[in-house]
Order: sequence, then structure tokens, then C-alpha cells
Amino acid sequence: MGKRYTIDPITRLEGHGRIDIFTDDDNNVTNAYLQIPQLRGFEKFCQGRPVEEVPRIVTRLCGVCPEAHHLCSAKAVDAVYGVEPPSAAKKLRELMYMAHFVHSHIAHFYALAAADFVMGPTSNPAERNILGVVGKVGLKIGGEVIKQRSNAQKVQEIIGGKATHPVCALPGGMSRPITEDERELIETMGIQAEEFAIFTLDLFQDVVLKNAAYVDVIKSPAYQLNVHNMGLVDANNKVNFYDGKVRVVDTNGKEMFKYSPKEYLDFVAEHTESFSYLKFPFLKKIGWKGLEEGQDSSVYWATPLSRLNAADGMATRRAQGHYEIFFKALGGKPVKATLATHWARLIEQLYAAERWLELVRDPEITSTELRADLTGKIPHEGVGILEAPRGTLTHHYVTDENGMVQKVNLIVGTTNNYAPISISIKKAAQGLIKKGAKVNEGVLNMVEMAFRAYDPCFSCATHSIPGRVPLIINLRDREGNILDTYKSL
Amino acid sequence: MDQSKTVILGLGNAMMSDDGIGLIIVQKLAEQVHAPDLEFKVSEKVGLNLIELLLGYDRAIIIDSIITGERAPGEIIECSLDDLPSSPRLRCPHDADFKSAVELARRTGLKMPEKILILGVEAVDIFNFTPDLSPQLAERMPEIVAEISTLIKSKL
Repeated sequence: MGKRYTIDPITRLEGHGRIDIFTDDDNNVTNAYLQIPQLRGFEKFCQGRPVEEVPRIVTRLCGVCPEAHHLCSAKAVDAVYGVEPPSAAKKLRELMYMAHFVHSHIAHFYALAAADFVMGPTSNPAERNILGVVGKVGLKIGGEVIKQRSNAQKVQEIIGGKATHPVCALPGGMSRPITEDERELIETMGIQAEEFAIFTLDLFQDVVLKNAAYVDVIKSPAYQLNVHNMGLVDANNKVNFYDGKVRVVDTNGKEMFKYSPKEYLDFVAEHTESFSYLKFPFLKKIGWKGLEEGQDSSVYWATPLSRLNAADGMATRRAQGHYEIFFKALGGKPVKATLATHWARLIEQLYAAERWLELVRDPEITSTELRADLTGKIPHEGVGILEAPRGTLTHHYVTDENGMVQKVNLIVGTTNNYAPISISIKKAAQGLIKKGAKVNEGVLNMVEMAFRAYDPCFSCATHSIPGRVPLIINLRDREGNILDTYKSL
Repeated sequence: MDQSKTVILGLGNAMMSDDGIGLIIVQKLAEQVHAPDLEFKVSEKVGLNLIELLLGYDRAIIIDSIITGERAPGEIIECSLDDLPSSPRLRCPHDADFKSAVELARRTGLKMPEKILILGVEAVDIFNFTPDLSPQLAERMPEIVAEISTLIKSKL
């Protein structure tokens, strides 16, 4: 009789996600689904409110990437009013955003990703966490993780006005400049952020890349995904997190198209499946072909790895050096190893730190010319796009002539990756769960690793303490009857 | 009453219905409970970010929503850091869980509260985007605040 393995909730990730793995009578995986809860009513909440309030509302969508939502929303509001912020305002926004990327990528690597490699994917789950990691690599590193995150948070607070939910971006610009004293402090912190990014890349080299067993895992078929690649690029096709065009490069590394934010509906559409209320974005010009890989499929991913695949390089010197090492080591572009996303994320962390320093040293960064003139502008419709740490983020607003919100459409970073995550989970499960093999916590953690590489973030707006254990695996028959239960703490 | 420095920290999201109850309760407590060396904070932060909010205090009482699905709406569940599962929220979707964050800070020499009490309020709705509490919690709000106020005073 076929079985269903349920991983609920996913450890070290959102407390409300669930993976269902279905097997046939011989314990071969027939399917795997990721199911997540739906946050309801956001569009209704925004309707009828002044559009300039939305950048401050959207920060509440997510406790993890409020800066991404704030700035993407601000860009959409700029577009609603048809204005372009002054150069200094754009640089100030981007500076804050680089600190956010550093903050976010440090958290993912040290709190989530590193444990699988530093401690080992099937090590004791009680030790497979950030405490285990610092216990092994050194308490000093733990202190540095806290310090660097705190610095990055401080920069976001200085520019953003509030540490977690920024309030700085206004239609057509920013609310206040930074002082020279603040600039100097941000520069000092940026130097440290760059050093720490280089240290972290070295650590990754030592712990992961010099371990042949881990390299084998990264390159193993269970963790490969052959889909199209999405990422924001600048005019030179270099990775950019704040501005530019969305570039999509196919499974062979060839550019399929580039689009500006206002064109997104011509290139991306969303598919619904009966088993989930979350929509699957896909490349509209190909059309939905199902949850399939390959050149003919319309599935794409939008991750640190896809961003590197979709670009021609990095716009900063040191990150470019690591970009070249990355593709040389992994056999050229595009890289299809899902777990290489961790490495790509660290290269992005270095890029963000370098760009942070470029911006804070720009003579214009303390300029007080921070607002575009909105006089006579009639609001109507606008789209903003930027790269959130976990994927391309799109905000689309329609207002009446008074700027009151009528429609809101969001495609958030992780939503882009719903289809590739689903395929990755299925492939990992098929590769790891076989007839006669014992399904234990270690095996299920390795299935989760396929998921965790995406740094997914679902109903992250909630903060409730879960009254559930972190990992429950139910073995069920096709009728849903529980045959056995594993609990892992 | 000793003179140790205590923080009452309310966590939640003000725009996600009952998820914001920790924030509302602490705002009300700040008006009602007065004691030396007692501070009230509210935050929508998660993960390692919580370290800074607890830094330097001797004791902390954290108030947040909780969903066990087994308790009546508004029921208060008292637990310590050790009672929390190893990887729960008070965990962030992409960050260290709360217990690990506190332990990491302690191990790296940062002063964290020696005593941390967590008060979870059984929630009904944490998935609808609204600033309003569920009717069940809204109705019980005065008694929930009174109960927590009494509980906190007994701990000070």
C-alpha cells in the first residue's frame, strides 16, 4: 500500500509549511508537494487607502524582508506618480538595501545553511543548528555574526528611520538625508561587512568545497534542477538588486528576453493547481507546461543562483573574482546545482558589502536633494521591481485620480520559486527514499536541504509561537490513515 | 520586590489580527503596571534581532500569541525557554530560533536575562490581514490583560 510522508512543519523554516511525500507500494516516491498557508486580505486592506501609505503597510507583510517590500513598494509608487527620484535618493535607498542584503544573507548562511555542512546533513539534529556551527568554527565567529548583523541593522535604522519597518521612502524620493557623522559610521561598518563577507567565503571554501563528500552531494542528480533563470541586471547585464531590467536566461545560458517593470504581465503569468492556493508563476511566452524541468518548460527560478546565471557578471571587483571562480568550479554557465545557491548567496553578500562601500563613499550620498517634484502629477498605475534576497519581487498598484488604491498585485520572491521548489523536493525525495531504505530524520533533512537552499519565506508576517513540535512525519496510506508517526525535536 | 532590571516584551504583527495581541497587551500593561527598573517594549522583530531587545536585563517576560489548537481562545500558556521546542517560532523563517539566539548571545559573552518567562495567548486568527483582533479575543481582552497583569505583578 502506498504511503504519504508528511514533514510538518519544516524545521528551521517557516512554522506553517508542510511537505507531503507520496510513495507507491514499493516505497518509490510518486509525488511530493509543498503546501503553505495563505495570508488573506492584503489587497482588501490596501483598497481605498492613499497609495503613499502602502510602502509603510507592506513592511508588515514580512518580518524577514520588510526593507525589500518597502523599497519595491516605493518604486511602484514612484511609477504611479510617474516620477523618477533624484540620483541621491536612489543611492540612499540602494545603500540601505545593501545593508539589508548583508543582514539577510548572513542570517541564512549561519543560522540555516551552515549547519547542514559544518555539522553534516545527517548529524544529530539537536546539534545541527547555529549553536553547533559556532561550537565547531569558534565562538568568536558567533560574536561576529551578531555584531555584523547588528551593524547592518543599525545602517537600516539610520537610513530607514526604524530598524525593522523602514519609513524613509516617499513618493519620488526619501524623507531625510544622512549626516556626515552618519556617513562615516556607515562607512566604518561597511568595511567590516566586506571583511566578514570575504571571511565567510573562505569558510565556505574550507568547510564545503574542500570536502569531497559535500561536493559530491552538491553535484548529485537529486539536487540538480534544469529550469530557466531570472534576475535583475543593470545596463551592462551585471547583477543589480535595486534597479534595472529583469533578464531571463534559458537552460542553455542564452538570453530569452529582458523586460522593464511595467512590462511584467507580458512575460510572467500565474498558474493554479487544485492542491494549493498558492499560484505558480511561469514564463508566459512559453505557456504553462506543468511542473516540469527542461528547455521547453515555462518554469523558472529566481534565486541567488539564478541571478548569477542570468547575469554576465558582478559589478564589483572582488565579487566578480568569486563569480569567475564559482562558474569555473561548477562547470560553466548556467549552474544547475540547487545547493550551489548557498555559495552564490555568499558571493552576493560580498557584492552587497562592496556596493555598500561604493555608495557610502559617493560624494552625493549626503545630498539633501532627495525629492522629485510631484506638482501636477496625476496618479494612476505603477509597477516596481527589485531583487529581494530570496527572489525577484514585483509590486503593482492601480489607483484612482486621487491616489486612492484600487488594485494591488504582488509577486513575492518565494512565489516565483514555488514551482522549482516543488520539483526540487520531488527530485530529492526520489533520490533519497528508495525501496528498503529506512526513512529517518537524516533522510528527511536531506529532502529539506533541497527546499532550504531557496531561503523560502512564506507566511512570515506572523509571529505566533507554534504549539507544535518542529518536525512531524506521518506515514499514511492513500486514504489518509496514519500508519506510523515520527517526531523529531 | 528586588531591584533587578526587568523587561516586558510584547511580540507580534499589528496588522495580522490576533498575531498582534502581544503588542496590544504590553501597551495596555505599560499604562497599568508601574515598578522601578521595569521597562516595556514592543517589537515586530524575530530571530537574532531579539538579542538586542533583551540585552542588559536581568529578567524578561515575553508576551506573544500562540496557536496550540488545544486551548480556549485567550487562554494564557506560561512556559520557560526550555519548554519551547528546539526550533519553534519565536523562531524566524530564515533565522535562528529564539532559544538558540539567546543561547548564542550568552555563549559569546553578551548579558542576557537569567530568567525568561514566556506568556503565550491562544489565538484564533493569525492569517487575515487586518488590524482587528478576532471577535473571540476582542471580547475577552479586558480579562486577558487583567489576568496577565496579576500574573506579572506576582512575578515581580
